[in-house]
Amino acid sequence: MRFQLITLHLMIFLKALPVYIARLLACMIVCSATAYASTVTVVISGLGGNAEYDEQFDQHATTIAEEARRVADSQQDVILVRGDAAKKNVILSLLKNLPVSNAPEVFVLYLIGHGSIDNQQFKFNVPGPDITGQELADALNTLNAARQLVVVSSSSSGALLETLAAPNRVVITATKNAKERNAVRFTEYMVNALTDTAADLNKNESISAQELFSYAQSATENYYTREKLLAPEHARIEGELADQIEVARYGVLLEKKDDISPALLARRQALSSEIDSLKARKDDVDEDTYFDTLQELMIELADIQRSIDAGG
Amino acid sequence: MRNRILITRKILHRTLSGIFAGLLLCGLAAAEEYDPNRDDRLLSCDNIYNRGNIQGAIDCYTPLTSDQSLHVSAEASWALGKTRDANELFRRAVAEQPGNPHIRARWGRLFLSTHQPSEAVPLFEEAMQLDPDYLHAQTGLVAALLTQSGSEARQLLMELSAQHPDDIELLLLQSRLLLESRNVDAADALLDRALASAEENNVTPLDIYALKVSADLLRDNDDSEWVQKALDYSPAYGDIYFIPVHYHLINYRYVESVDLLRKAVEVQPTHWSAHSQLGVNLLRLNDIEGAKKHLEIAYTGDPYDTATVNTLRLLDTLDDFKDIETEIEYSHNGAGTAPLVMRLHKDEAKYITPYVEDLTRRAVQTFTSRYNFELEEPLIVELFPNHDDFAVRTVSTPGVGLLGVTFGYLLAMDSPSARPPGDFHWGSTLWHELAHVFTIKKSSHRMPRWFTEGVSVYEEWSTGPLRGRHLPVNVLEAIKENKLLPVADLDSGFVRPTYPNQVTVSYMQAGLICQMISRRWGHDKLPQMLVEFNNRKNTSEAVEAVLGISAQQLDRELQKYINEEFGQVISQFDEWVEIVNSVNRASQSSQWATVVALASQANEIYPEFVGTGSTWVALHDAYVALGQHDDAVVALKTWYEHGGYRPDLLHQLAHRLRDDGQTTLATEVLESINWVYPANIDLHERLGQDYFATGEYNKALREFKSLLGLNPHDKSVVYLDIARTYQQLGDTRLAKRNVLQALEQAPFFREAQDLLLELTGDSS
Repeated sequence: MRFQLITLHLMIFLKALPVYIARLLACMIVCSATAYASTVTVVISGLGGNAEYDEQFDQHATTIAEEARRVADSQQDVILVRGDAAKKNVILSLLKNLPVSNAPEVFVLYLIGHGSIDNQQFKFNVPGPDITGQELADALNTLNAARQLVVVSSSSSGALLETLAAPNRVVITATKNAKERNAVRFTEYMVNALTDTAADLNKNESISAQELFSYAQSATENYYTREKLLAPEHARIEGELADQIEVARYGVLLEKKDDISPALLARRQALSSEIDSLKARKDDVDEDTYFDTLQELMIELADIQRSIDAGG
Repeated sequence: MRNRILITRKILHRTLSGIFAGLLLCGLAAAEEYDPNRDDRLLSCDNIYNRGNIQGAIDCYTPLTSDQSLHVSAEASWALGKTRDANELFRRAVAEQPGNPHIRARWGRLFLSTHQPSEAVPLFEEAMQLDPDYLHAQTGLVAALLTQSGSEARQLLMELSAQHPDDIELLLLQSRLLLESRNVDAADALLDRALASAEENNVTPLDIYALKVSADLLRDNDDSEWVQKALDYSPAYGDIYFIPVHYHLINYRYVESVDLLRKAVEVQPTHWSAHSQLGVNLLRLNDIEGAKKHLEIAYTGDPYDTATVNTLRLLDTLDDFKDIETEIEYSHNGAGTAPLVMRLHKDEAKYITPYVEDLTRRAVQTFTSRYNFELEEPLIVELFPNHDDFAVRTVSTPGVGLLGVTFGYLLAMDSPSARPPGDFHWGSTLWHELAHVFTIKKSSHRMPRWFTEGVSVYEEWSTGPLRGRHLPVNVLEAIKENKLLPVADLDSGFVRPTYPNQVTVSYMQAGLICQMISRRWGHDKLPQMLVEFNNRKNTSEAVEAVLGISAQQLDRELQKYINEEFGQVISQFDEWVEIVNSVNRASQSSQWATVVALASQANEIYPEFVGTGSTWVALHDAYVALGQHDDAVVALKTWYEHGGYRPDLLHQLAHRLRDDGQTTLATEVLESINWVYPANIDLHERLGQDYFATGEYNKALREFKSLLGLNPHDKSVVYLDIARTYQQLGDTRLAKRNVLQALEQAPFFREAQDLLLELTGDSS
């Protein structure tokens, strides 16, 4: 309910946007979680062009925002902009007024809607003037978050892969280029990824941007194969940090997050890093040695997991 | 008269190889091919060549390539192997003399000699329009048409032979056909006539010698006197070995073919077609490096030979394949093992290997026992996901309709993904080909074609992975129209079909004969016949020796058997076809009650019809539409029991059976889908869980491993299933290894963590 109020608030008090953002930032600094990366999520539902798409985009954006809110330290860390509120000046102001100092560690932006190409320039369709890819990039470049995830789930979104590329940024697009112009199914499967634990490939009760992409991409492909259709969309991901950006969480880590010992979480994280490091060396290590070492690490990790499950 | 005089000056050489098996463009290529109007200067060069003086012939032909006469220049270029130049020169010669049938016929012969009969045919026809009685064009047309199936060429050959009984080229063509049908004595008689004619007319007899050698080979005389006669005449005459190879090949004798081809390239190192065929046949014997060597030699000499080019391309694609080696255990006269190599495409190997291995194992165990024969060499099974690659592997050219082929211990076939899902039952095809290995090897490649195909079809029906006996409708129609051949002549239905679908009809007839023999006289008679074939008995002799009746009596027995088995549908064939068509029309217009009535009637007449348009499927659909779900399941179940194998319907059936609590049968139905379309993640997941639940852990393991090979989105779950299965099988080491692989994918996977702690004793 609170979430809906925030949305409504945005819709009604557009003119007071800078004030709102200032409040939001203040809250974010105070509410920042201890063991998890602080994250601000902005979800934008674009112009559908007809009632069916309007409703679909709105539903998807709302679900994404709800899932983000479940993870968020504060409900105000999640901003949903939809309907008539989702105008170009609102969105760009919102992005440009996010904090520069004391910035969140992670900033996540979802753009759900239609994209188009006009004079070889990508435009995300919103009420009134559309937002160009370059305007979006300029706004995002002013942000100071250590890691950024930008998901553009729209037709022609592949055109943004180069425009939005940045060292600290992961970009997910629903299409591989500007020429894939049909409305996309990727969003539906992305929403499923956020709400279904099946996307959690490493079973750490946290869905990373990489897992989100892998699940949605695979499910989209399967859809077209199953329906014996030529796939008109091919999702893409660019950026190095996709494993380090969390987009959803469930299970013990979500339910007992305030009860879990920071030391246990830290050891869990350290072990996870050691396992990743071992896996990276797999080809250079004798097979038996590799699995023996892996076994030791996994047993310790299992023990820690049990302790966490038992209440930290 | 002029024509007659010129014929006496003809030089016979190398024609048959060009006509039937691809001309040997030998660097220097003899191009005269019974040319009735050959220029004297060319004839002089031909004489030099035919006596084996290659350099002398080159020196003779070379100045003629710039002769003022365009067609002489074309002939000289052709003789020197410059076929592109020859083609262009013929084109210009025809433009210069459009009313000359001789030049068009010669141009057609050039196409024929360069493996392009379809280009040759119109040129021969054009020549015949200019001169309807022009024999050189008529014979060329017959030769071109003989490279294709159908009876037109044979008919034309008979007509021409009646008009020109002493024409040597026509006598040789007839001999060739007779030899193909193993009518050796009749062929020999024609060859003797050809020899007499050649001697009388002072014609080079080399081609006749080569067919004489072929006749001797078919009599199992490997030391023919005609070889030496040919080599005495022309020491570099590689065709004396090359031409007879054809008769070995149509009888599956690849080892012997390779021996002859090696001799051909030894006496004539520039015999490019022999190099090409040597490469192709070494590949059939699994000598990939040897094949490559000779194909590359062939390519340097004749880059237009499609067999060479296609097979070299195929060899490139083999880089994408992997060999999986294993041993098959069987028990027969004591325990034994047979090495098996599965050559599978890398993309498919991970999920299809268990099924190829499983079916091959079952087949080897079954056939070793049933045919009292143990494999003596490693068995090689190749599956091609690209049908054209398989076709090239088989006949060196894409576009053939075959599904599988066996070259002795090596068999090749389409893999399930080579065709749309459900298009063919790959398990049956593999079973069929594996049966060939036993019939071919037990008889030392001496069985007739009908017998090996018959046994394979019969084994498909009786021991293979697909239920039922699958006779296409057009086979029933052929039976009704009395188109079956006498068993003694049944091979001709495979080798030289005279009507569309005759090959299929012959397969089915052969299968029915073997089934009848097994049922009437006992299965043991089939391996006994193989022994007789190995003892060089022909069909009539083997039938007489094993069954104690004549081949004609066997034909009569078959007629009785067919009446017993198919009498109802054959006697009501037209009515049945009309009912089936009515069912389809009623289905399309959703007249479900009519569908039920008519489909039931059709199924009564011929319940074995489970292919496209099956009335069992129509009946099922009608019951579903009418809400009679139990009846729908019964219809689908009956369709399945008769051998229906459409994957979507099998999935439906399994689902319904599971809902009805018939889980064992549901699992069996699901399992059967593997032999049609195994690239289905859900199928393996379901089957794996089913087998695990029922304690069939080895089968569960097979399913989980295949599932892993299909690259599922979440591999960790599959690794955990595999670990659990190994745990149940008592293999803790592999259980631990797989649970670690699960955790490698998903370090925080609680179920996997629990199993790891349990397996390592750390569980608390």
